[in-house]
Amino acid sequence: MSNTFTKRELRALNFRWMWHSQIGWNYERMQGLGYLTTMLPVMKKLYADKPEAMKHALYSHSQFFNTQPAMGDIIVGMNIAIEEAGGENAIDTATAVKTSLMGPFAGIGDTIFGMIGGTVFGSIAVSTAAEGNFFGIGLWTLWNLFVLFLLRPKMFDLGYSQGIKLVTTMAHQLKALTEAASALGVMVVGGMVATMVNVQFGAAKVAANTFDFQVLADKIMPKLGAAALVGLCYWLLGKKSMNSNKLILVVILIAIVGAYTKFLIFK
Amino acid sequence: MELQFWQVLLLTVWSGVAMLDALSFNIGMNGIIQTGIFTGLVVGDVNLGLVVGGTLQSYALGIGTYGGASIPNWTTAAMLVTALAGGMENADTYITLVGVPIAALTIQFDVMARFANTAFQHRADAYALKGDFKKIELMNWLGTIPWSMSRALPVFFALLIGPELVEGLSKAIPAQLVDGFRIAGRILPAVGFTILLRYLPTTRNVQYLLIGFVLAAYLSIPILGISLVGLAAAVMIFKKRTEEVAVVSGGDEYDE
Repeated sequence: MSNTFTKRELRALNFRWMWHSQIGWNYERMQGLGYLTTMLPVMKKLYADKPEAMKHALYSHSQFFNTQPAMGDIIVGMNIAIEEAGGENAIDTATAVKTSLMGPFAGIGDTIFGMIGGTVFGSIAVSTAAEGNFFGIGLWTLWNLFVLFLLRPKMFDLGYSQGIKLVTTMAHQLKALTEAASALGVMVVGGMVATMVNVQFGAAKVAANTFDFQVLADKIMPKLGAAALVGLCYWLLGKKSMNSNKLILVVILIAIVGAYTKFLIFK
Repeated sequence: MELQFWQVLLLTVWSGVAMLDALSFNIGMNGIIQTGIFTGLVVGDVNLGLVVGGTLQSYALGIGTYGGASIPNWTTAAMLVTALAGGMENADTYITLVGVPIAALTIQFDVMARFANTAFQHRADAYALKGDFKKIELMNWLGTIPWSMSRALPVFFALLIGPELVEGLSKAIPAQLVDGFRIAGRILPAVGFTILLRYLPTTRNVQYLLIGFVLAAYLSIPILGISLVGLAAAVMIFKKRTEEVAVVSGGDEYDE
C-alpha cells in the first residue's frame, strides 16, 4: 500500500466522516453529500493534476449513499485505501464497494448500535431513572463515549488496513456477531416486557360476586397482562396496514377503553 | 413554571446543538433522559427531569431513525414537559398526557429539515460540476441550519408560550380520558418492545425471549443482571458460530 496519507491525515478524514456524514442529510441523496464532503481532501491529493479523474470522482462520490454512520467508518476507510492504491482506475471499485456494502452494513449497524445498544443501555437507564438514580444514564454515556473514541476509530483503521480483503474475511464474523447480539437483545426485551409494561386489571361485579381479574391473572403467571399485550401488538404489527405510529394510537385506545370499562386500572 | 428568558434561550440553544450531536458524534446530548436531566438542571428540578426523561424513554426503546425514518420526537417532549410542568402539582401526570401529543406533533419538523436540505444538495451538485470544493463543503455545513432549527424553533416558541401550553393541552383532553392516558403511560412501552421484536430475529431466538421474561417476572432479577446473562449467551453463540465456520468452510465463503 502506498503511503500517500499520514496517520494524522487519516485520523482527520475519519473525523470528517463523523461530523459531515449526516449534517447535510436529505431525502434525495441521504448521506451522499456527507460522503462527498468527507472525500474532498482525498480527491484533492490524488487527482489534483488529473482533471478527468477529478470529474469522475466528483460525480461518483456524490451519488446516493446511506448506512449506519459507525459502519460507515469501515466503508470510508476501505475506500480511501482502495483509491490510494488504485488511483483513478479504482474510483469505480470504490463506488461499487460503497454501494454494495451500505445496505448490509446498515442492517448490522442498526442492529448492534441502534437496537442492541439502545435497548440494553436504554433499558438499564430507564429502570434506574425510575428510581431517581443516575447510574444507568451514566453507563449509557460511557458506552457512547467508548463507541466514539475507541470503537469508531478502530473500525475506520480496520477498513483502511484491510481494504477490500475485509469483506471476505469479516463477513462471517460480522454475521456471527449480529446473531450473538440479537440473542442478547431479545433476552433483554423479554426482561423489559416483564418490568416496564405495567398492565393492571380491574375487578368486575357479577351478581353478588366480585371477580378481581388481576388476582386471576396472577394465578396463571406473573405479568400475564404484559405478555398478552406485547403478544397482541406483535400480531397487529405483522399486519400490512399497521405501522408503529398507528400502533401507539391503538395502545392508547386500549388504555382509554380499558379505563372506561374499569377492565384496566391505574395503580 | 414561568421561565426566565435566559432559561428559554439556553434550552433553545441546547436543543439545536443536541440535534447536531445526534447526527454526528452522538455523545448523547439528544437523548431523552439526558435532555430531561439538562432541562431539570436549568429549571431547578433535576429529579423531575430524570423521571420525565426515563418515562418517555421507555416509550421510545427500540424506536430509531433507521434508514431516515421520522419518529415521534420524545426528546422535545421531555424538554417541554420538564420545563413547563415543573413546579406544577402532580407534574408526573402530565408526562403522558402532554408528552405524547408534543412528540407526535413535532414529527413534521424532522421531515421539513430532511426536505429542506435537498436545496443544498442541488447547489452542491452545481458546485461539483465546477469543482468548487469550498462551496461543496459549505453546502454540507449549511445543512446544520435546518437540522438545528427543526428542534430549536418549536422549543423556543413553546417555551415562550409557557405553562399555558401544558395547561391548554391537558385541558383539551376531557377529564374522563385522563385515567386512560395514565394507564396508557404504563402500557405504551409495549409498542417499542414490539417494534424491536419485529426487527430482531425473534422467531429464531424465542428461547432467549422466554429466559429474559422468566428471569424478570418470576425471579425479579433487575435488567442489568438480565443483560449479563444475555451477554453470556451472546459470547457462547459467537464462539460457536465462528468455530463452526472455521471448520466447515475455512471462513471465506459468502452467504446472504
